[in-house]
Amino acid sequence: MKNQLKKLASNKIIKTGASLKLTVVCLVILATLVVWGTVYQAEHGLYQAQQKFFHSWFFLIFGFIPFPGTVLIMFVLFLNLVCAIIFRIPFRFFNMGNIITHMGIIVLLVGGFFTFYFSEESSLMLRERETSQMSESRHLWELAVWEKKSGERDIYAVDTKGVDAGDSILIEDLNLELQIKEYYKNCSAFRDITDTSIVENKMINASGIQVLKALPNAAEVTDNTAGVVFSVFNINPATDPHKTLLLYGEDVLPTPVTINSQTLFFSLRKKKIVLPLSITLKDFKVTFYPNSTIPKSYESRVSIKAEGGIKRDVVISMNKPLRFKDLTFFQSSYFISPDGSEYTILAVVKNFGRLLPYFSSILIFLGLVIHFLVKLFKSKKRSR
Amino acid sequence: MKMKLKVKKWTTYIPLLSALLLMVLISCSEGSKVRKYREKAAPVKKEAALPGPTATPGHTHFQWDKPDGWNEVPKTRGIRLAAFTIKSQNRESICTIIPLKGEAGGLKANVIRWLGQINVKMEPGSNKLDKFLASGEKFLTKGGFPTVLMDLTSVTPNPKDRSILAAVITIDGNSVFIKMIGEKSHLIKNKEKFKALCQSFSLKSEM
Repeated sequence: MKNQLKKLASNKIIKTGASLKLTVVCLVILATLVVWGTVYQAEHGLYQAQQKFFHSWFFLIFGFIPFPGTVLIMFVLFLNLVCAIIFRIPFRFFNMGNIITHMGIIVLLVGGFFTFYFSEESSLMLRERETSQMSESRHLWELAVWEKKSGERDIYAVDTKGVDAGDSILIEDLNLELQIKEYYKNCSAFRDITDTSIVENKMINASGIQVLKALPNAAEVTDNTAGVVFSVFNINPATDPHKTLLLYGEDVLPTPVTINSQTLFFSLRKKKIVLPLSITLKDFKVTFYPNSTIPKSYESRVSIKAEGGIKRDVVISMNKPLRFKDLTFFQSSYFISPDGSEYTILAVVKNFGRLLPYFSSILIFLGLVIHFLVKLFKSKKRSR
Repeated sequence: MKMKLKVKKWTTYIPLLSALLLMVLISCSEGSKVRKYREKAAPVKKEAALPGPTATPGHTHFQWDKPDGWNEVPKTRGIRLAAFTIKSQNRESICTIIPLKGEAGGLKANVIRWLGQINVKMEPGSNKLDKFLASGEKFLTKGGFPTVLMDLTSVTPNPKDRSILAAVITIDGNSVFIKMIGEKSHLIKNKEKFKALCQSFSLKSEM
């Protein structure tokens, strides 16, 4: 096995993959991306900068010159570290500090990976004395379908992230197939259309919206309004003709459709996230700087109750978030309505890899301490 | 002194390589699976106007019965679903049907606003306002939507003063406002018709 590893280590690709030069190149590109992205953000907004520089594998300069994005660089850096640990850094006692430090950096990158792919950010708006067990995404959308019912109802929701024209979605419980005809990440809606060819399409919409027009992505992701046009087929028993619906993210009414004497409501709305606990806002307090309307601090006294758990009171303030399992509730904002009702706005962040950066920092710290101690021991030995 | 670790089996790298493989698989996967969850028909608090530069009644999928003698305005501008004019004895009132997102500020805030529009002052939190809010007539429309009808003529002093009849229909957490503005005496005369219009609000059945 050792010989095989040695053979592999002499391979050109592996050598390059484990080389320090590659690390330096990656770090230089990363620094460039950070500076470039920061400058770009000033003009194009945070979301555009994030998408172009930090959430991409590569992007095009002037529309044709490819340049690596942060995701690609981080991935190469990760492989580089893995290769370095396996093939370049000798597995010796005196190298332990070095190896542990590298391991710590790998854990940090893995944490970043989990945060990038699995973390979910949403917000929860509560009026005093109101209870909720559901938060709402700030920028992701869902196509929600439910049967006409009062009180509690089952919602069938399709996340529209990754949905595109031509996609087909099966909702077996409702015997429905949705065929996406058009999907817009950002669009505007129009009702006063004189073009008869559009009007004849007779797309169903509760507010009378007749057409959607694509818009470029807004500078801030939260300013985008999604839109979708899709056909609904009943799959059991199969029916034709189908119905074509048009839904707009800012539409004020859900669109009702009756299929086989069953009334269903369709709505394109911000993605709802069911929380593992219910939160009641007991009191909201805001204090202002003297003689100004600038808030000095604000806090929410909430009562939380997990399923089967005990009710307890917690105060969430600007620097004191509530942590519950892999969820963190931050005091994000507030709203006072014209009738004086106070609302709190909490940012809810779900992150499986939340503890990985702490773990990695401990590893890196330990690794560096061991490394310096070993160096000290070696130099003292040499001086003797 | 060089201390070499003797054991460096290939199995040492299994966790590292499997983590790498898992990361590649996850980053390549995509899915728009159907999620199922349960929710209460809770009101949405955000208020927003209808999109688009102009609007027509279009083929909205709600229906209502137009009261006799009321004239539907053929082309409604703005965010209205429909508008009617009611004329009799040289007096004219206007009735509009407007959909709004969520609670649209809530009943209390809207009642305060409407009272302001007819120059009647009631302090928020006062008993007078609470009593007036409690006087709202509650009923279900033909489509089964909960409705509150607020009769502002009861707090309008003179028969010739401008007043308001307003109904708030709640449809799956969103609101439809039906509002009639005109002289107090004219509104009182048309109140039953207004109520009948609100009660007839339902989904179109042909879909």
